[in-house]
Amino acid sequence: MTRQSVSLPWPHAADTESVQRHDLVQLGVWMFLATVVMLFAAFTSAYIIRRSASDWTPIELPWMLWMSTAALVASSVAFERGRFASKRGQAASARYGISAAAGLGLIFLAGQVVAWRDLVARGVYVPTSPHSSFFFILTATHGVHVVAGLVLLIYTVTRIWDVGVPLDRGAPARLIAASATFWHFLAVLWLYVFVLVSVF
Amino acid sequence: MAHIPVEGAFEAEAGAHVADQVGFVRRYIFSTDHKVIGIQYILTGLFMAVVGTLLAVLIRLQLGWPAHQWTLVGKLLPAGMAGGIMTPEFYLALVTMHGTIMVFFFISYVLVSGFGNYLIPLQVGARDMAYPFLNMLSYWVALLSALVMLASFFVTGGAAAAGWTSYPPLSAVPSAVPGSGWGQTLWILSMALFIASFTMSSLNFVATIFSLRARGMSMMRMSLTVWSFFISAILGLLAFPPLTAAAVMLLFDRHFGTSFFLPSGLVVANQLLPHQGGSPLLWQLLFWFLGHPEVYVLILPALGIACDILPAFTRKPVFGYRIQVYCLIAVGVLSMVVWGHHMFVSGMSPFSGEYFTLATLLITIPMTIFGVNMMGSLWGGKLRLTTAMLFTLGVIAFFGTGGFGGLFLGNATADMQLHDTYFVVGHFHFMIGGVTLLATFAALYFWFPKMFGRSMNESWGKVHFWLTFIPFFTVFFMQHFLGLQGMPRRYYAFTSYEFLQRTMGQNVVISVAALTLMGAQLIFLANFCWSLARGRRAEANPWRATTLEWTVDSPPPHGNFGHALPVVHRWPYEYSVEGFDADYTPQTVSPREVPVTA
Amino acid sequence: MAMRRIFPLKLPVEALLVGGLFLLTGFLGVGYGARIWLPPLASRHGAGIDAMLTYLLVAVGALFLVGHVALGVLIWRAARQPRITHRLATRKTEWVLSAALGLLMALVAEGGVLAIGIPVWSEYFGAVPPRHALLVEVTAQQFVWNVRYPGDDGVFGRTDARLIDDASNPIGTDRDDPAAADDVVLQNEIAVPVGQPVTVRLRSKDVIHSFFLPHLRVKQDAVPGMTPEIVFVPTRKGTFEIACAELCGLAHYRMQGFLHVLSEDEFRLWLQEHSSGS
Repeated sequence: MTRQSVSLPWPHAADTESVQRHDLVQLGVWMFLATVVMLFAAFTSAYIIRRSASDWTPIELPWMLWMSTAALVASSVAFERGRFASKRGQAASARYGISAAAGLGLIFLAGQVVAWRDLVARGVYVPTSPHSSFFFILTATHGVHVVAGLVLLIYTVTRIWDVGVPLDRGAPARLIAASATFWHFLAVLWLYVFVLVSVF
Repeated sequence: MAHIPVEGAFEAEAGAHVADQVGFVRRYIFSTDHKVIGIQYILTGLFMAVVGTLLAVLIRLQLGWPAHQWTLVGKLLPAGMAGGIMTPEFYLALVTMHGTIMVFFFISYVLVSGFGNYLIPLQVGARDMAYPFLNMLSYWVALLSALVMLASFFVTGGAAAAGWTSYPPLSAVPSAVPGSGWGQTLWILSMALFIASFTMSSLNFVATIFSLRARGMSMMRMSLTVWSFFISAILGLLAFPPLTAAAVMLLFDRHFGTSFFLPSGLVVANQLLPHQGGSPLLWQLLFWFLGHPEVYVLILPALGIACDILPAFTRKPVFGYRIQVYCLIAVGVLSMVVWGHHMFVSGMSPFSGEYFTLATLLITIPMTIFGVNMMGSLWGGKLRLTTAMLFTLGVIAFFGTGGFGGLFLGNATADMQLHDTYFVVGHFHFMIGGVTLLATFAALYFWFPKMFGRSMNESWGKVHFWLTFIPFFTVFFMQHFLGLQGMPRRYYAFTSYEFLQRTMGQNVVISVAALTLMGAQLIFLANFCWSLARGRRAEANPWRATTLEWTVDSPPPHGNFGHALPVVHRWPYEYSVEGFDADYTPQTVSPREVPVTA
Repeated sequence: MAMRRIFPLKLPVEALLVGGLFLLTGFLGVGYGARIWLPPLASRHGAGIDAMLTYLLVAVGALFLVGHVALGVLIWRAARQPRITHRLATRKTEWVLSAALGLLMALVAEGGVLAIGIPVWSEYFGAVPPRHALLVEVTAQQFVWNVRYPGDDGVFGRTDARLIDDASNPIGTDRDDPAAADDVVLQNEIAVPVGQPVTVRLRSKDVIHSFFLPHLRVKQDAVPGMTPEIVFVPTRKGTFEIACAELCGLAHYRMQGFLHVLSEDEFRLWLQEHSSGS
C-alpha cells in the first residue's frame, strides 16, 4: 500500500496545505539527544567533583568492555553501510546492514551484562567504591538508552522489510536517517563513557 | 509539497485520531487533541492547587497560633494533628509537599503544560502538536506522577519532610527524619515521572513552534506567549536532565549503599553510617542547576501571557515587542549560569560568591526592561478593566515587587543575613507564587470563553481579584520583613526565641490575610464551575483580539482551523490601525485590506 | 447587568479604585518597610552588611515607590481615555528607554554591590584569621550545638566518628590523645570576650545545619565533611541567640544556642568554671 492513501487525521483538511518546516522525527531525535547530553554532562560534573575525594579507589575494568565496544562500533559501521546502500537504492543490502546493526547492538548489551557479572564475581558491587558506583550507574544509564535505540532500530527494520518499499526517499528514508542519528550518537556516547571511566 | 501527506499519515498511524469516528473515551479521556490535553492538565493542576492550598491553611494555622488546639482539624487528621495539635513531622511534611505540589503540580501543569498545550498550536496556526501521541503520553505520565506524590502522604513515616529542595543527608538517611523513609522514595519517583512527562511536553512545544507555524508566521510574528513558551521549553529541556542525574544518585545513596552525597563519619541517631567520601554540596550544585532555570520555566510563560492580554484591553500594540523577545532570550541564557546564588552561605569559595552575585544581578537588567515595557503598553492606551486585565495589572505589580526582593537575595553580602529566612519565602512567593498565580488567573478568565464556549462571570471575577491581590500582597510583603528580623524558614514554631517575640503579632496578621486569600479562591472555584454550566455563551472573539485562536469558533473544532490552515500577514498586535473602523486587525487579514504597521 | 450590581458607578470610579490600589500599594509598602527591622547589631563586620541592606532598602524602596506610582497614574489616565493617544513608539524610543533602564539597573544593582557589597564580602571571607583570635569549634548535630574550646594548650584533641556516643562522648573525642585532656566540651553555650576576634570552626555530625547569629549578622552552613571557619568580632556585651538556619529535622525549630559576649575577665572566669565541670 502507498502511505499517501491513509486518510488525514482531520477529515476536512485540504491535503496540500501543511507548512511543516523540518523533518519532525529528525528534529525530535536531536532535541532528545540534547537532553541526553545534559544528563551525561551532569553525571560527568558529579564524577569530576566526586573524583577529588580522598576515598577514590579505581576498580579494574573488565576486559569484556573492549569486546562490547568493538561490537557497538561495528554496529555503527554496519548501520552506515546499510544507510549508504539504501541511498543507492540497494534495498536488500540496506535491510541486511541495518538488521546486522541491531544484532550487534544486542551483542553489545550482552557484553555489558557479562562485564557486570565479571565485576560481581570479583566482589565489586555498586557501593564498593565511588568508581564502581559511577561505573554501574553510567553503564546502566547508557544501557537504557541503547535499549531505547534498539527498539527504534527494530521498528525501523520491520518498517523497511517489505519488499517493494522504496528506501531512498519519503518516510522510510527519514526514519532510517533519524535512527542513524540516534544510533551513532549512542556509539559516540559509549566511547565517551568508556574513556571517562577508564582514563579519569 | 508532495511529501507532506506522508508526514500526516505517519502521525495518523501513531495517534489515529479521526475525530468523526472515535468514541467518548478516545475523544475526551485518551485524546491526542492538544486542546483536550491542555484542559486535562488545567483541571488536574487546579485539583492539585486545592490540595496545596489546604496544606497552606494548616501551615498558617500553626504559625499564627502555635499552641492553639484545633479540635475539629484534629478529628479530620488524627495522624498529623492528634488532639488538634500539629506534630513537627507533619509540619515539615506539609511545608515540603506544599512547595512541591504548588511548583511542580499546580503552576507547571496549569500555566506551562496546560496553557502551553492549549495555546501553542492555536497561536502558531497548527492543527495539533508535532507529536500528538507523545503529548497524550506526557499527560498520563504527569497524572501518574501527581498520584504517586499524593500517595506519599499515606505511607509509613508520612510524606517527604526534607523540604522541596531535598538536601541530603537529611533526604538520604531514612533515620534522619520520619519523612525520609518511603515518603522520600516516592517523592523521588514522582519527580522522575514528572521530569519524563515535562520533557515530552517540552519536546512538543519546541518542535511545534519551530516547525509547524502557519504560512507567513515568521518567528518575529509570533505572540510573546508563544515566544515565552518556546524559551521556557528549551530551558526545561536543558535544565531537567541534571536533576534526573541527581535523583538517580540520591536513590542509590538511599537504597544501594553508594556514597555520592554522603561523607564519611556520619553519625545519625547515635549510629555510625558506613558511607564514605561523598559531598552534600554536589546535590546542591546539581539541584540548583535545575532549580534556578525552573523558576524561569514557570515565570516566563506568565510574563508572556501577561504581555499578550494587555493589548486586548489597551487597544494598542504591546510596547517594545522586539525588545521583549530579546529580554526573554537574555533571561533564559542568564538563568543557566547563576544557580550558585542559592548557595552563598554553604561554604563555597568567596570568589564564586562574587561571580554569582554579579551574574545574578545582570538578570535585573532585562527583567527591568521587560517590566517597564509592560507598563509602557498601558501608556496612551484605552483601558478596559476586565477581570483578566485586573489580574494582568497585578502581574506587573507583583513582578516588580518580587524582582526587587531579588536585588537583596542575589547580593551575597545581603544574603548572609537573609538566606533561609522568611525574606526568601516572601520573595519566591511573589515570583513563582504570585506572578504565576495572577497570570494563571488572567489566562483562565481570558481564554475560558475560547476553551469552553462560555464566559466566566465578570462581577465575581472582580471580587475575586480584589480579595486575591490585597491579601496576597499583605502576606508575602510582610514576610520579607520577618526575614529582615531574622526569622528562619521551615520552623515549626518560633516561641522559644527571644529575638523573634516581636514577630508574633505579625504572624497573626499574616495568617488572617492568608486565610482570607485562600477563602477567596472559593469564589473562583464557584465561578469556574458555575460558568462551565451556566456561563454566558461566548462568541468566537469576545475580547476583539488579534491572534489566530480568536479567528476560529469557541471552542475550536478538532483540527482547529476547519478546511484550510490560516495564512498570516502581520504581527499579532495590530490594534487601532489609523483610519480603520475596527480597532483590531486579526493576523490573517491581508495587507490589501488593512496596512501592516510593524 | 450583573457588573453594575457590584460596581454600580461609572468607569472613572473603577479607574480610581484600580489606579488607587497600585498607588496605595506603593506608599503603604514603603511606609511599612521604612521601620527598623534588623535585630540590633553586635558585630564589627555586621556594620558592612547593614550598610548593604540599608542601601538596598533605600534604593529599592525608591524604585518600588516610583514603579507603583507610575503604574497607578498610568491606569488612572488610560482607563478614562475615550481613544488611544499613543500607538507605536519608534524603534529609537524603545532602544533609548531600554538602554537608560539597563544603565539605571546596572548602576543601582551592580554599582551597589561593587561599591558596598563586594568589599564587605571579600573582607569577611578573604581575611586571614588573626593569630590571636580565640578558636572555638562548634559541632552541630540533630539538635544540639556541641561547643569545644582547645584549652590552655591551644590544640584540639583528636576526634573519631567511631568513638561517638551521644550520651558520653558527643563529638567522639579520642581520650588517649594528650591534647584532649584540657579540651572544654559544652552544649549550646559559647562565651567569647568582647572586642576580640573569634574564629568558629564549624563541623556537623549528621545533616546540614546552619550556624546563624542574627544579631551578629553571621550565617554559615555546617556541612558534614567540611570544616569551614568564620571569623567575627563581637562589639557588644550580652547574650545573643544562636538559631539553626538550614532544615535539619524534627526539632530544627528548637536547635537553640546562646552566645555570651563577656568582658575579658568574665570570660576567663567563665571558661575556668566550665572546664572544671567537664
